Amino acid sequence: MIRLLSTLDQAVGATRPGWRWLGEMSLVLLGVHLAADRVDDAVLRGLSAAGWLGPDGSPAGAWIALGLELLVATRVAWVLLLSAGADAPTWQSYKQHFSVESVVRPLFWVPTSAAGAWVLGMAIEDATAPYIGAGAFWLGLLGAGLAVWRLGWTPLRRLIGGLLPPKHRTDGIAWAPLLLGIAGFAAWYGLPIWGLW
Amino acid sequence: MSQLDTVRRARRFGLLDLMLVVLASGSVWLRTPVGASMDFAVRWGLGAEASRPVLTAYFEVPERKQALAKALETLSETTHVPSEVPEGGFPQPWRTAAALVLPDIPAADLDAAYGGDPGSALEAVSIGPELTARAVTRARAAGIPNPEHYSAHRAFLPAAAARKADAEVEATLALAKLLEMQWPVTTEHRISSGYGMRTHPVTGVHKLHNGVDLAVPVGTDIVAVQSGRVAAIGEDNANGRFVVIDHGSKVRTSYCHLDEQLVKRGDTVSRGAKIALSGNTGRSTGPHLHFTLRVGKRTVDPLPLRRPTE
Repeated sequence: MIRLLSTLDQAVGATRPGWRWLGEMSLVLLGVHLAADRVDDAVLRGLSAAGWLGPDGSPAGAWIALGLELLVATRVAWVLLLSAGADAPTWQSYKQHFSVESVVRPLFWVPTSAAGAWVLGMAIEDATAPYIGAGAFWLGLLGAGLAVWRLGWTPLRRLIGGLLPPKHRTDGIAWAPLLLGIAGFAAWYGLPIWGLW
Repeated sequence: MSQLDTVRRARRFGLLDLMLVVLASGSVWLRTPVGASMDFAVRWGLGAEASRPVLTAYFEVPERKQALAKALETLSETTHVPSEVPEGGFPQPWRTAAALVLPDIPAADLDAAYGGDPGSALEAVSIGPELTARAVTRARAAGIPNPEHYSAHRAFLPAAAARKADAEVEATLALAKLLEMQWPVTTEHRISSGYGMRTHPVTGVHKLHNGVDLAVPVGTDIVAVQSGRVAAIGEDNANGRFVVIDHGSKVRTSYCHLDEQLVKRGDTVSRGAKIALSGNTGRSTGPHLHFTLRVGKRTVDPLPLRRPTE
């Protein structure tokens, strides 16, 4: 039985380059959606504070958040595609490729993938709670941890390793406010750590 | 290490990775607008009809007002609105609302669950204390202020439970707010245009009139129909000068075509407080107040909620 499972595991592992990117992108998109959900509220609060919100309210917040989410999704897919097959980075290669982009990539990826893993952990907990009771929490935590390890950490190394030689140090500055903003919302609202202190 | 070992090592955890990928991509497909966009593209490619909600629905509370709509219909048919509000308001308007929105839940169950917060009691009888406790724990862990409040921990409920709670808890609390509403004009007046489809007198377009028009002379006192916070004041070509009040539980009222606003954005107002003087500003054919009542993103006809004595 163990031998069969091991063979199956190896066979599935051999096909990994064909589908792993889908999971990596999905994990980040879950975190991005969690952040965008808060962007919606923030936009509405901003419009209201500026006095631009009409008496009928406004769907502007939802549309802006949706636009940002789809834009970030496209960007994530593009960067993952470009980084496919890249080697793990070395400090030397990172210094050579240093630019705004090289700073933004990890700052964006870490909180959004962690927030995505937490969303996934909650989904596991919710799905299993009716059957295993309190154990569901730990299973959810395990699922989130595995997701961070297998779908969050590996691509982060690839994304940094796959940085292209920058033309200027400011390469990537156009995307930085959006990506860092989303990452900030994901970190603030998506990580179950702020209530600990 | 031989080359074969290196290959084997690289291929480890294939089943685990596949499981995680299926879980993550399935969640994206079902729960996010990105997934809905892909679903739409696939269905469009296959020539099938789209079956998913509009993309912005992923940022909104889902269709949750059916119970409220039903309760409001009941109100208008049987005039359950109490004719007088006791001084200081109803002792527990949410119980009256619960009886209308959730007629199948025994009052004894609500009594047993009530610990001082109506929202928590309604949530407990609606989706159960275990799910509620778990969501509160998650919200607390995420550092959300007042995690025990339904609106604070709603995002941490499972989707199906959140939808059920939306339909039952929020609808009940919203209806409780509506039951305590007073009319925005205290002097005698006539309703010059009711809620519903009509041809606009200025633009000539046939569309939903999303509120009621109260014909009152310029300078008539306009009062807040319920306590709340001033969410917006402003002026535009269509609405003239306006005030929007957020009453909580997703209930908002707006007062348009005003002559003067007497409150500032962010002010807290009590029920019956003077907030503006009526006028004839904006796209208007004569002095009147355009009064709109909103629950969530839909407008509600406020007339069935007007007391016979008002």
